[in-house]
Amino acid sequence: MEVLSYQCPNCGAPLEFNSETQHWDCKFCLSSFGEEQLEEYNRQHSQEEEQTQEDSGEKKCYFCPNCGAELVTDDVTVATFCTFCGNPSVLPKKMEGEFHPKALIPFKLDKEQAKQALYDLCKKKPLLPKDFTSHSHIEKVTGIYVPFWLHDSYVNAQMKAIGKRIHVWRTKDVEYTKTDVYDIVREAAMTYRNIPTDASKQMNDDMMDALEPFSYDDLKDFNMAFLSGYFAQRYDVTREECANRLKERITQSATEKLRDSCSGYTTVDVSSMEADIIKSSSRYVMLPVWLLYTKYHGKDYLFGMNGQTGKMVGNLPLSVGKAAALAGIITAAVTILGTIGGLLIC
Amino acid sequence: MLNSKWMKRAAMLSLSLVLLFVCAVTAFAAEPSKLPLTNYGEIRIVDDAGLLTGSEKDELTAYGRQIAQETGFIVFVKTTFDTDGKEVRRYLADEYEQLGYNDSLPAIMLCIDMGGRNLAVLTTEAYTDYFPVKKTDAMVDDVAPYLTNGDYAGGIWYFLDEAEETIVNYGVKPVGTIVLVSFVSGLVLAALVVGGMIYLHPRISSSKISATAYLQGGRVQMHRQEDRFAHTFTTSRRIPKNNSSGGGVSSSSGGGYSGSSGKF
Repeated sequence: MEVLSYQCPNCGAPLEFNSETQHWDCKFCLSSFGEEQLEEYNRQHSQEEEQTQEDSGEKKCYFCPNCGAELVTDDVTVATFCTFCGNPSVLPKKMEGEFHPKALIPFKLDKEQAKQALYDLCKKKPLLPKDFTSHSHIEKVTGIYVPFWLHDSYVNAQMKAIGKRIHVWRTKDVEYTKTDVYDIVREAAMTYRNIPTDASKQMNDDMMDALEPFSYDDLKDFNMAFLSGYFAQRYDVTREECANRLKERITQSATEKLRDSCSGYTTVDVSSMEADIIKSSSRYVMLPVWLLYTKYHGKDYLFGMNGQTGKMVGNLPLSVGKAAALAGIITAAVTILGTIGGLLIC
Repeated sequence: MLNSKWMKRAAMLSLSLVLLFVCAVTAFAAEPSKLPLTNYGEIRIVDDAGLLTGSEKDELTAYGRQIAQETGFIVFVKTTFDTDGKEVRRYLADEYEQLGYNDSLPAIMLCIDMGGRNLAVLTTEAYTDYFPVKKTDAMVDDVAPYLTNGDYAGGIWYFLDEAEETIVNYGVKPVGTIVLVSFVSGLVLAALVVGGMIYLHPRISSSKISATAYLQGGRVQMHRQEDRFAHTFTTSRRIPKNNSSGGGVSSSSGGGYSGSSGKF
């Protein structure tokens, strides 16, 4: 199977994608190449020889075109690095046919910005353990193109609800409460564009959802050169397998919208809600994500950063000691001030 | 572990601060006034309505005398069927003066008017510091249920108890209550603040966006929008009225008094 290594046309060293300039840089001869230049060069010097592959259970072995060492990858990895020489390698055969993405958003933020975003996230978090940033070690920072399905969905939604309008008035010493009850019915059509669902079993769905939104203005036609210098996976969750997650999100959103249309009521209780996806189409794309693994007091923490917008998500540790100290200080301060005030007033 | 060390330190420091403060406050809290205030203290129970049995009257008189001697207050209890058309507090003030007392003496009075089903608690204007209107209001509210149930001796007994406690504790600030209320308020505030901070602490589940962000044009094409009136119902409730009224009142001779009255 073919292994592609994007190499410098000048010196032959591996090229890496520069998210700032959106060019491919050579760190040895400091050359820089645009997308068209690189494509032209690769057409002329395409590596034709398919490297040997060996099946080893689910693991497949490829060989680094740079040093000849084995590239050990699983079924879904389509771009990786040689563990011996660090050469970025792309496995184009794994992206053929149905696995060929339609589009991709290139990385806009680099590794240092990802690390900085993690430190920024930790700033001004009063309940974060004081030594978290100093004692936590960023074990691994991985730039990865995550496979996503972008769904266009046409939805018919129907909501039934009970609305109540409550009026309260008083005459002398009696208070009256009049409740007008309405049966509410809403039926509507909605069109959703580009709802993303990650198509990788290895990725945490909640984290991938939390990394949204991506700006689709930056979507480009898929080009394997963008993968050079990053990890990438092909999808192993089909669009059909994403259907439940998609429907759940759409139902939640449709309920919000239809409920918002019920104005003038004191309370609205939804009794039934149906959101039927009557037509849906999906595009297979790759979206950029930085994953940062940190270890703190022996426990692993995983953070994700949107490689396009810089949005950072993750679970930060909570200092029980700090929370208790803060609660103690507030309690003591209020007790003392309240007692002084109380004694002055009484 | 660092966390448990922090927690222990914070808890110990806060507890020490509060204890130190409470001790200091208790030490500097005002001393109670010296009793008895005067040598005029005596008990008068005039049961014109005949609500008390002989033994009840004796027991109440004995207890009232003890209070009067201890505090120097004149304790006057009057029961009647008729207030001579006067407002019950004014009637009580007049009855008090008819016994030869005046508004400059320390006195606490209770009147039970069976004709109008009224009761009143009154003090002389010079001693409203001991029995402010808020206090006489509370006494009326507390005694009324006894009278409603026909337990007249119980009501008078309760009145005497309250009167004694109020006079004896005059000048003693309720440090314990104030500290307790402040402490509980502090705990509630701390729970709200720290709870809010924990809620806002970064975590994945709090960052999700709604699929509404992907709704084309943000619009909904409504096919059916029906709001059908189903039925209506009305409920009512009586607003509880403040049963007692209080404030300054003058006797027929112009003497100044303060107190509260209410129904039972």
